[in-house]
Amino acid sequence: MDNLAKFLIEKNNLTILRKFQILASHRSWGGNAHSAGVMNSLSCDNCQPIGTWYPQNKEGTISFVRQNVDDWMFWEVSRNSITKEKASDVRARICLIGESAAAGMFYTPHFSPSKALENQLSSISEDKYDVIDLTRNSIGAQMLNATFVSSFQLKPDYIVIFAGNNWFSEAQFRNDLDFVGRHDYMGAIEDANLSNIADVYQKNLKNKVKTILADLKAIAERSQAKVIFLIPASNYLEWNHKAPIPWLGESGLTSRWHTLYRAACDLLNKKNFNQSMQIGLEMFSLDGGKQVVSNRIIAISLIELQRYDEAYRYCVNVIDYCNTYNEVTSQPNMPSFLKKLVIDELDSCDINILNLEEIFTESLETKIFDGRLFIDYCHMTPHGFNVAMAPVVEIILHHMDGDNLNDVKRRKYNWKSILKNSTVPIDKNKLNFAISNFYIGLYLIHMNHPITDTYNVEKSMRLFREAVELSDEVLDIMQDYIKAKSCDFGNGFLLSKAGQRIFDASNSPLDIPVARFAQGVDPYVVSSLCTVLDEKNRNGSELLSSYVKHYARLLDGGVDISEPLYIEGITAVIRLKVDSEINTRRNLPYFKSRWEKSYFTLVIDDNASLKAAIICRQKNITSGNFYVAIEVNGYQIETIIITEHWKKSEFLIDRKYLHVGFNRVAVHWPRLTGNERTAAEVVARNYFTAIDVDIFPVFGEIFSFYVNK
Amino acid sequence: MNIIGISAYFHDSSCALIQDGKLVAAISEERLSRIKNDARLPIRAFRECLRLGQIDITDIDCIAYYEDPYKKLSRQLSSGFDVSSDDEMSWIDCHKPFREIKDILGYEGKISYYEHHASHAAATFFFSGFDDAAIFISDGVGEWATTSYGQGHGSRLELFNEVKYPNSVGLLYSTITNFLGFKVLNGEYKVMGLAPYGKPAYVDMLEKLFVVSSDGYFELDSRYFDFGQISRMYTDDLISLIGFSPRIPESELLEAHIDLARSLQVVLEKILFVQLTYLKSEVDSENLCMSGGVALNCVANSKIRKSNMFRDLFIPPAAGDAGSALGAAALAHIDLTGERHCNKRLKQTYLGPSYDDGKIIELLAALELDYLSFSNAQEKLIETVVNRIDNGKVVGWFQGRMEFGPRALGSRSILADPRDPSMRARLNELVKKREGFRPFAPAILNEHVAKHMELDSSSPFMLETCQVSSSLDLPAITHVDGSCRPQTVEREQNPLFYALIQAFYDKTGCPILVNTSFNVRGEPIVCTPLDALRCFGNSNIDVLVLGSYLIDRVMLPSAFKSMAELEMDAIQPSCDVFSWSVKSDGVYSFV
Repeated sequence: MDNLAKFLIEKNNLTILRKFQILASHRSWGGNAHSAGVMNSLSCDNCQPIGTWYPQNKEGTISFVRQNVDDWMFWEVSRNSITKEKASDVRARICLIGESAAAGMFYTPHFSPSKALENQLSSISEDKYDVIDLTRNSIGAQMLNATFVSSFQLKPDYIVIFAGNNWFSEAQFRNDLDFVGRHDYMGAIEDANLSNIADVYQKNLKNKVKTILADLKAIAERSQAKVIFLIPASNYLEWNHKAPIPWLGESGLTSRWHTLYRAACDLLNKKNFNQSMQIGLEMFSLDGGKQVVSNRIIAISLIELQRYDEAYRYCVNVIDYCNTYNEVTSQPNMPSFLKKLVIDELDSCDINILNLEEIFTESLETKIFDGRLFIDYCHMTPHGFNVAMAPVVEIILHHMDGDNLNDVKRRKYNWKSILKNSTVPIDKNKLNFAISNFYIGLYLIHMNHPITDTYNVEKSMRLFREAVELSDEVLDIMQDYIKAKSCDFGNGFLLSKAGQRIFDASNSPLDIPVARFAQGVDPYVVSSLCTVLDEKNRNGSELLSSYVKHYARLLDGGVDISEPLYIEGITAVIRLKVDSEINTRRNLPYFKSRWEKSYFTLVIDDNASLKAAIICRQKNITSGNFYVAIEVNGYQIETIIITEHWKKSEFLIDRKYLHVGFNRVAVHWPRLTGNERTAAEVVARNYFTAIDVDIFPVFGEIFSFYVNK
Repeated sequence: MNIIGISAYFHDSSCALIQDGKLVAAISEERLSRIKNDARLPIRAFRECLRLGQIDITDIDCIAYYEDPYKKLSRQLSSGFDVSSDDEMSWIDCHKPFREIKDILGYEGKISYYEHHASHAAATFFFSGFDDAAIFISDGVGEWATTSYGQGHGSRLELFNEVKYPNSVGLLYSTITNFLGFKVLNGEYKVMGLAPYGKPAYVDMLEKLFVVSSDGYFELDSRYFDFGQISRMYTDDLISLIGFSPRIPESELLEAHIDLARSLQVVLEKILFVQLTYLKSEVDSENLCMSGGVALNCVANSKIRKSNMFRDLFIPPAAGDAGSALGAAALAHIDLTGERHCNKRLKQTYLGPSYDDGKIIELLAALELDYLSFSNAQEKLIETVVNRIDNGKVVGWFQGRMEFGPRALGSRSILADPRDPSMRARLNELVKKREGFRPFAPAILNEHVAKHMELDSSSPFMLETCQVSSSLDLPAITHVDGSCRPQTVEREQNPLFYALIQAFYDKTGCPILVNTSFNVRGEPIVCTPLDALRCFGNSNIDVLVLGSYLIDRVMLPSAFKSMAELEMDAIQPSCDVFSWSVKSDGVYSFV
């Protein structure tokens, strides 16, 4: 053993062993082990829980009763009990199974796709329908199929599955992949062209989804109910994806790409869309078209130039590539290649497939979907619920009447006419819709990170104002949000009275995590809300002043603005993880910049000059002088030398560059240096040794950036 | 000179800072992450040590790591492994600790590392104040050594004999802990607490499991142990030998289980006496320094002291691996300067963060909580708290810098009246939410010890037990066998805590308080005021004292408790919400 230990102490030998382990552990995706598990559970005679509804036998009547255990808050919240048998006067029982898009995130439980479905059915026929909402936010494929199976216990006549946005996660490139997953990325990484990772991701995802669909088909074959599958669609117009690029692997390529990116941002800001498109195309050719930023720049430019048909391809590319890397904030959606796969795989069985992309295109008369149907990347507006459910209603009604759907001429129902008669019940739920608007406004600022780093909060402001128009009670919630966020820098959110009031006023328990995931200073949301509060004479300025003081007080002892709390965009994280340490040093031991510019928020409450001390480095610098520029509110205030080792630089921030409230501090890093191929090879070697890798180039690192009075 | 000591990757990872020869900070990662026994690299504790020392990363002269991962690897390999299993053998990467100190902590300078038992030995000897001492280290295992015999003199430390893995007194204890359905590395002290309820019925049988001899030799009978398994440490042969099935965790504790716990305690003490007799014969010193997980067995410790085998005994407050961060730093200090960092005995463990009244009041105001303020009125605060305790209230007491080590010693404590016959059950069931058999420890004014306890020396870290001899009836702190595990409190070490107990004595004639750690089952001891408030809401503590402010439970808003429960439930390691698979470390999502 001593010899073996000595052997493994040599780093190269460990790499060899790991490679051996990766190869030895390789097994292909696919197979139907998953199916077997699902099918076994079908043969259970006893009642099984359906999601968070557990079976209860009361005097011989079995019901499934909601239990607030484990992941209860992820499931639709309004229905407490579901009887096993449908009532005798119900013409059809319909189960809706799916993810947050199907749940109607932000609007549930007051309005949702299931409610839209129920309303539409009721508006057309006198019959009673029992629509059971079995949707669960963040449902993964395995749980989706398990819910599909367990829903059989309710003997539904129709099962509507609306899913696919969440299927990406297990195929992503990530540092903590097991050896099987690591094997899949071996080829791409070994070539030291890390762009190829995107191809492997797509291949992995396809293989994985084939298994999911095989399971789904197998379950559907056992179903007594008619199964309808809805393929989700995405917001192409209004949602940005900003993701760094990995090392491109050839000398100067990555550096060149970033130079172009900076130029493109300038052009976009100047509204010179012809040229920004040209630059975008140049970036596209450098990165092989597999990176979201170049595609998004081209798409934005073309859309602004009203060349929608051309823009469509780049919009689709963004969706197809945006979830390649686990390290970048994921945005659930369904890539185009999966949509095709679903159609191919499910076409042969007795499942009705509805591709929402086609429905929405027909409804909007454009392929570039926008805020009329979507509130964010994949979640729909109430009108979107109605559009998505109308064709489902059409299928159900025809099926109940025994009509052949393929016989277009004899169709009695048409989804467009169903849609025309659909309504959104705002009048009955003004406060609830106002609350929805409020959370959507927050979410947009937190999540929709501008590709040019220039924030535009107009849409959120509009949503906040609309919320107030619906119900001025939402002003209390806005005030409470700021108060709760003041509580121990957001850590005491729910324990505060303000947080408790927000909790009581929330539509769905999941609203709270949405509000809370922003543990940062949150300057854009707080400023926007205070502006709205001021407009309604609700002391927004006073609240802002108090909020600012909470942070500014720390300046006496010194504030490290490289702490996650102060990093701009830190809130652009979807809580895909249950993680009580999110936005702490656990997840970001020290700051690493993947872009040429990094932004931080400095909060002050008086107009005094401040002392600053930054400790930073750029590990790839080997020779020559390199400089970092420090900007405050757009003014360059200092230039410091950066070296390959941590170096402390001290300087003064003159009061003339500062203003009371939120100040934007930017660190402008030098261009990338070092041999790109070598850098990519290091990534490859480390990846095979199961060592965490920086797949994206690092422009600079900050250990601390203290500012004090 | 700034030296950082680190222990990590097994359990209770910790970080300590020795600054110009003074121990200025020590903190376990679990207190910050709120994840019990957190074993991950102490990223946040590292930052906290820098903050407490008012230094930055460029000021660090050395990081000292608490064990030798290269040597450990050969032992790990010898334990056997399954190449085809899903376990990816991350442990095979022996470079990980040093790589992560560089890559994750960002440290660029010199990293020194020391053997596991050397770090333990340094953590006791160099903090003992002794100029010379015999050194006894016993734990589960580090690299190979499981028991080490050594001596210290001045700045020199020598470990001259050892027992090697798989022969391990610590693992023997852990195996029976595992058999009794308690968590290894966490449940051992529960077994110790259970022991007095039982009879030593299984001593003869347990003695068949090992051989111990007067030359320090110790060997386990390999037929009964298999440490390469995932969920259990024993073999079927051990089950046959013991004669009953292993207890299912959380199931009822039967008489046989309790008797086995008692027998294990008896056997442990027998082994330790043989081993220490050997050590005494080899080392010419009147002083004994002990460390390692076995040294946390305070029942055995008190018997060792009472035996008078050695004139004086020192056990550090964090005798487990957490404390090795201090030991490694102390060894690095000697390497860098040629001198031990300190010749004085470590007398207090208040080495963590503190929160001043300004921060507390700001928090209470932001939470919109009602409270009573005793700002600049310390005497009044003490009087009020004493009245509450005397009236049967349970008080959460949050003051000053947080303790380092497994015991709450008056900074993050739950306090109660030791005379109350119902207090123990109430504390266990309603406040701490833990097993009913668990005893509670007293904090006693040092100068009153002789009147109430059979304790010959001070016990500031609650590491020894003694018999209660008080004329007072003290049911809440007296264990079933008439023993207790006291903290002796001196004014010099913790003036406020001392003053509180003194005031309780003045009012009641009892110079003792129940002192248990401020947490509930499964939760690390609270660190911040917010942690304390959350725990307050999530337990049935009657009164919370945060610095100069007091909150009675009745002052809490009705929703506070349910929110606190919700918040407590939300504390969990990073986990993917789609697959619910647990990841060791979170991945930060960049935009």
